[in-house]
Order: sequence, then C-alpha cells, then structure tokens
Amino acid sequence: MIKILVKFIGRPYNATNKRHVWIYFDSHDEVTLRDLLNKIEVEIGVRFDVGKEGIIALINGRNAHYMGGLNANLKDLDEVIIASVAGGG
Amino acid sequence: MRLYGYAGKILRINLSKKSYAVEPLKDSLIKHFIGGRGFGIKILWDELPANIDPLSPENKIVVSVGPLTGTKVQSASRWVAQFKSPLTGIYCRSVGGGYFGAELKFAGYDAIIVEGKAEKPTYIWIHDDNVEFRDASKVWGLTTLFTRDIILDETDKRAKMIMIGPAGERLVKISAIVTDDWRTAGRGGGGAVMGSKGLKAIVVRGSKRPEIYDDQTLSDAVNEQIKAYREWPAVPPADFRRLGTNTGTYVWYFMGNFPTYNFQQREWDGIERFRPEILESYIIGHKGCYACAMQCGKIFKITNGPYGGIAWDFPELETEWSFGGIVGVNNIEAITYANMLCDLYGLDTISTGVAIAFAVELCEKSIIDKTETDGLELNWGKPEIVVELVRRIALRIGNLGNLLAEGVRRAAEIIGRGSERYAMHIKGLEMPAYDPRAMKGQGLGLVTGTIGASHAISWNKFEILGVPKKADPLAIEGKAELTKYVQDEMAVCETAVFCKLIVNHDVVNPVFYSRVLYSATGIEEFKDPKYLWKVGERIWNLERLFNVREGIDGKYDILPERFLKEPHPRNPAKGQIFELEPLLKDYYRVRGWDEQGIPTKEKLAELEIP
Repeated sequence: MIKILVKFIGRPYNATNKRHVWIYFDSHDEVTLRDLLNKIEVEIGVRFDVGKEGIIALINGRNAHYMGGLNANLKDLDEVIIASVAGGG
Repeated sequence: MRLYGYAGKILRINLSKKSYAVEPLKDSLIKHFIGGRGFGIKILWDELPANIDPLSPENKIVVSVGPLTGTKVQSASRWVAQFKSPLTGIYCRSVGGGYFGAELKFAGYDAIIVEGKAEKPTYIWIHDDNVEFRDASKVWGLTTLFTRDIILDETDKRAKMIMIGPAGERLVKISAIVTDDWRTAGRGGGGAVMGSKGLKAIVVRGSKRPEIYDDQTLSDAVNEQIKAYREWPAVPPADFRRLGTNTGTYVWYFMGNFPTYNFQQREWDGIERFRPEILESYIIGHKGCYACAMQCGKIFKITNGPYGGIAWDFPELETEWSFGGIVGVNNIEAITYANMLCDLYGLDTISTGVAIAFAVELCEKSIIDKTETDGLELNWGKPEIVVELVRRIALRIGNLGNLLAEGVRRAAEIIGRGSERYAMHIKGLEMPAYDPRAMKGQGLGLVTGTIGASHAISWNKFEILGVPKKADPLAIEGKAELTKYVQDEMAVCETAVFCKLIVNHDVVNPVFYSRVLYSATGIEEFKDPKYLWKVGERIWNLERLFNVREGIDGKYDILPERFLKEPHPRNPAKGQIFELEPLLKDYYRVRGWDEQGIPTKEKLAELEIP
C-alpha cells in the first residue's frame, strides 16, 4: 500500500474545505501525480488542474513541473501540497 | 519642451541654511533616467562625494516620484527614498507606498533633494509653491502615530507625510521612513539619515494635477490593466487581493524559503499557524495605495492574549517571517504587535527580526550569555522576547538593544568571537525571507543586489511564480540571464514608480510600461520597450558604479558562509549549497563587467554613462 499526505492551501482549501487528507493506493505499482489527482476527484469530488489558474502541486516542496508534471512519480509517505500561489515580497 | 506626466520641478531643500530652490527638470535627466529611482541614483552619483559619512550633513536624501505618479495608471504612485546608507555604507533605495507620492506630485514636484542639517528638530511643510521650515521640537521623541496627529493638526488634515519615529532620531541604523498610513520605506536606515539631519517629517499638500499627453489612449490601457488585475490567468490577482503577500507565506516555507532559526533551516511545525485561512481570520479591513485596484493591504484585529486590543496594518510576508520563522515564533498576535511597534518607532521589520535571530543564535552557540543581554534569556520561540527586543532596539535600551541597533554586521564586529558566522547579511543589509540554497537565481540576485540583500529589487519571478516562464529553482544554468532580466526590469519599472508586487506577477512589464508612459508623456523614445530596458540597465550599472566608487566591488559579492558550506537540511533543497563562484562568473559575463565585477568602459559607453 502507498499512502500520500495531501494538503490543500488557499483556493484548493476553500474548494475542499479540508486542510489535509491521506490518499491510499492499494498496490505497490507506480503512482503518479495524475493518479493522485484522479483519486482526489473520486474521493473528494474536486478536480484540480495543476499548472493552470495559479494552481501548483509541490511534491515534498518541489514543484511537480520539474519532476515530470502529471507524470511525476509518487512514493509512500510523500507529501503533496496543492496550492494557489501569489507573489510575495 | 512642454512636459506631460511630469510636474517639471525638483525642490532642493537645504536644512543648514533653511533655504530652498525650485529647479526645472532637465531634458537629459528625463530621457536617460525617466523618473523615480532613475532620478535618485543620477542625482546621488552627480552630487555625493565618495566616502562621506552617511550620517553627516554631506549626505543627501532624494525623495522622488515618477511620470505616472498621481495619474490613473494603477499601482504607479509609490515614492522612492535614496541616500548613502548608514547601515551598509553604500547606495540605498527604499520604496514606500500610500498616498504621499501622489500628493508630492500634486504639490508640483517630481523630486525633493534634502541637504545639510537643521539646527534644531524641523519638519518641512510643502503646500503647492509654499515651503516652510517648521519647528518639530513638539513632536521630537514621539512615535509616528502621535507625530502624525499633531503635525496634521498644525498643517492640514488632508496633507500626506513621511516621517521618522524615535528609532530614526536615535540614529538606529535599521530605522525606517514611515508614511501617515504606515507604508514604510524600511530598508537601509533612511530613518537614521533623516534623524541625523534633524528632519522629523516632510508634509505635503497639493492642488495641481499632471497633464496627460493622450488621455484616451491612457484610459484604454488602464482599463486593460484593471481587467488584468481581475483576470490574469497565470497568477490570478484575486488570490493576491484577498490576502496580500500573506497568500504566499505558508507555501514559501515548503519551497525551502521562510528560513527558520536564523537560516539553520530546521523543520518547524509552527508554519501550520500561517495557513491562509488562519491568517484571513484576523482581517477586519482592506487598504491600498493611491490608484491601485489591488488593495493588498489588510488590517488585522487582535483581541486575545497579551497582545490583544489592537487593529493595525498587517504584517507582510517578510514580517511574518522576520518575527516568526527566523526566531521560531508562530504567535500571529505577537508578530502583529511587533509589526505595530516597528511602525510606531520607525524600524525596518526585516532587519530587526534578523538582528534578534542573530542574538538568539549567539546565545544558543554560547558566544554570548545573560551578562551581555541585560539579563534577557534568549531562546527560540519566545514572542515576549521578540516584542521586548523591538522596543530595546528602537530606543537603544541596554547593551543588547544598543548593539543590535547597529545592524548585524556591525554588531558582529563589536562582539567578535566568531559571531560574524551567524550575522546573516549581504554588504551589511540583513537577509530577507529567501534561502539562496533553495532558489539559485534569487540567491544570485541577493548577492549582487546594489543595496545589499534586497529581495525587492531582484525578485526572481521565473523561479518563484513561473512567470513569464518557468525556471527550475535548483538549477544554476541560465540564472545569470534571468537575474539580469528581473534586476533591469524592476529598475526601470521603479522609475514610474510602479509597485514591485504587480511587476512580480508580470502584469506590469516594460511592454505595458512603454504604452502608458508614452500615452502619459508623449515622449517618442518611451514608445519603445527596448529603450526602457536600456534605461533599467543604465540605472543598475550606475548604482553599481556608485558602490565601486565607495570601494565596494566584486570582492564584496559574497554571502554568509552558512549558504556555502552548510547543506540545506530540508526539502525540497535538502543537501543543496549555493554555488557562488560559477553563478557570479556567469553573471559578470552577462552584465558585461570585468572579473572584479566592475562595468567595463565598453559597457558604460553602450549605456551612455559618461
């Protein structure tokens, strides 16, 4: 079994009304960010278009864009943050 | 030449002689430097001799606005203070918002140059063409809140002002210049420069409005700008409007920034208190600057605990960090309270927090003990210590308060015993909430910053937000080009004076700027974005030359050894250090500078810098 901690920040939090969830995969097969987003949609009912409208996914802090995007591999106990971002300074 | 957009005048004030002169804007100054930050560096370059004491009457403060200030163009009415910094000993530019910039333009001025030193505490009251030197004895020693109320009673309640608090009066090197609505030009010790001149405040009221060259075209462009503020797809501004810079706080930490424990970067559970929905629960009001639809300022209300009973300008992301993560404090109420004290006393929140973290780490490492802290037990995660030290630094109370008031570089020099390893600064300016090990382009921007470790003049939007295109924060290839890009872009956009936050989102850039600038001024050269890029590069190079003239060349493009030798301990930058040498070498090449980091003759000729 693979379990992933998913945190929702900003608009994703407002969309789900959840701060975090654990998402479980009943296999040791390869799990990708796409699989995770699909499962979130099934279990929570919200679809996130990562990479659009300011929605990003960080896998252990690293922007998924640099890890293969939706094809980025996830492993057991990874932490994925789905967030809307804006500038700081 | 008939001027549109500009007021057309510079006000030169001599405090020693209690005299002033109104000078016309020169055509060459406009064409080569446009306004704001460009005007300031050119005036300082021409008029300040090398190696003067920044706290002597010889130093000057240039406060300037730009050709779009006071117009309908959004987010373009900020003001810039420029001077030789008493904190760093080099050039400094510090920017503030609110309504002062527009009011200065309405009074009929594009810039004020302040020279000399007043015999006794003074404030300047400018109402249109009238300039008065007023006795500030009554407000000397007061916080900014009381100063504002008393001075506006004495002048005009509709006037706008910049001022200093007790920290600037006491020549605290990390003191700020504060507006009547708490929009602060914090960095570099501008408050101390005003204090050294006996200048408590500059108060303005104006009745004029800038003439616009092509009002219809300008209106069309502004309407597009406002539409973009609502609908910008890459980074929706609605998120930013909702919570301002606090939108990014939580995510910053997980990107490897928001450095904890004086940049030791240990894991920190306290970040969970900085989730957007928690921060949002403190908001009771929104505020913004002149002609800005973004309204990113928020009012936080604090009712519970020992810091209850206040409603104040919220702590920006940087301040949530400087009184939060870097000192291990997750108490939002205390952070808001410390932020309020800084506004009242007139302190830079970034430098103050970094100075406190420096002292706490020195205690952790047993370099200093209670005998040198005036009995204070310094530990991580103690909000009461942070609040108390803000007060002691501002008022120079005790050994430690007085020491930290000098900034971390000087404090480390005085303490010795290896303490400099824990003084987190570049060229004397305390580090902001970014870790060079986690974002290499951002790090390169900090190390080459013309005022020291400033995130504001070199914000790498490629790495942080992925606009206008994405760049891997951990890669070093191509970062010199991106660093030059954001530096030159911000330099020219601060001639307007545009807000950095909107430039960071890439909603405003030189292409848009050239449209509105030409519409406002009718100056042919400004039609071409490439011309604007060149002005930005010219400004950056002249700022660099100013520092070189002070003896600060590439040898000083260094950063604390923590970033070079201690691998980042947490994700996503785990194991990373900052690769200074290759990054810097490439940066000098891209800049057209020699191996000592000095602009070459060819580069200066290309930029028409004599």
